Amino acid sequence: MMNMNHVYIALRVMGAGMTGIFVTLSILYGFIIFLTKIYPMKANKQDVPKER
Amino acid sequence: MYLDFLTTGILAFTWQQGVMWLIGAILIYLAIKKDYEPALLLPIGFGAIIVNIPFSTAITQNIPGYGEIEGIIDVLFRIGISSELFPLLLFIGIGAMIDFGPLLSNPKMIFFGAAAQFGIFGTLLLAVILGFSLRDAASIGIIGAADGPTSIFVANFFESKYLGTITVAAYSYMALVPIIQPFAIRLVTTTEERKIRMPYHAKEVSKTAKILFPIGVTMVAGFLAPTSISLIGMLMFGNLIRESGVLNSLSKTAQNELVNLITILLGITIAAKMQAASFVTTETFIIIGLGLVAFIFDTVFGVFFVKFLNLFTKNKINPMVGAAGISAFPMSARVIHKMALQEDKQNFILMHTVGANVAGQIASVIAGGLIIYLIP
Repeated sequence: MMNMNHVYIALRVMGAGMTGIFVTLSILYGFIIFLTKIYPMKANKQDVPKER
Repeated sequence: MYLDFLTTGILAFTWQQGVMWLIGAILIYLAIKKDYEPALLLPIGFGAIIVNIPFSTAITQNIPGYGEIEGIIDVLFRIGISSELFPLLLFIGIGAMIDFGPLLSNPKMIFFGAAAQFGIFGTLLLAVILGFSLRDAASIGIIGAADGPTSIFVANFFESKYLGTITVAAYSYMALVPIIQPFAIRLVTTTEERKIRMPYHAKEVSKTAKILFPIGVTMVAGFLAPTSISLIGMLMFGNLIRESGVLNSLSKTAQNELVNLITILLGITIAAKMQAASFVTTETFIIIGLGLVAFIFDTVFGVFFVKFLNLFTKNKINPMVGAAGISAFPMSARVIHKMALQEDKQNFILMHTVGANVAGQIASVIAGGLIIYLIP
């Protein structure tokens, strides 16, 4: 039997959960940007043939 | 009669146990013949058979004349799953397997990992509407994490009586990603959208950045979602072992021996929750159905999120990349890359899908922690 109070809580959990994931991952995004600024990436030269 | 004991088991056999034998046989068939998650489905299938033999001493039984005897599978369940030990140890191995390089070199993929977790919450709501209690609904919703250990961890935390069904559903649908995701993606994308090309400029991520990443993720997740810390902490610990460069033998052990050993034990132990009396119910079929809905929600919401972003961006993103934000790694990334190649033989989006897929690993674990915190 559906419980309207539980439906309301589930909706609240959905809102808070998705917001929480996006906020946490946004901060992680900032952290990655910060990391790659301090330790910059180099162009991958693995496939570039060496000159003889 | 002296030979009565020979018929005791046969006479106590119920049709529900017969159904469980059939389910066990199907799981073993899928594992061996179809190669669907064989490492998990085969032990689960065999476990389903041995716990459903009348008077099986593999599970705790009251044997006339002997009293209560604790079965090996119940012992393993108490030690390995009730304590959360097995899923957490498995996370060390998974962390050691993951290369976060594609995510670090293309950080915006992290948001696709977030979007594709919608299936968890959408299914939770649906399960509540269908009459499940909040805690059971949360345990069912977590199938949408597309991550076996997280599903087991959360369902066990909520002491859900559906743990066995949830685990079987989670692993079965993970194995069926090559069927479910292309079907769901084709429902919500056009051929033109699936043909969108995405250039990729290979960059080498600094070793220091790769070492600092797991430490930083643990700290950030720990501050914002402390309930996820045991999950994310073990995942990132495994990754730190891998990236440190000084623990190569430990990294190899975590990726191989540790994962293999825990997988064997985890699979057979799940059978403790697959006894006929509690498994052969209408709820089981509803949960299996909801699990499928969770995977479809994940995929569709991931695609819609990219479509939404494409409204505002100049360099269009292939919407299929959004669907790779689930945690089924690396299967989802490969399946979607293959779909892109089917539409256009020169469309190589693998590095993008891998980036979204590893982001999904992090996001699903955070989602698991958040759901534990948010459900009263």
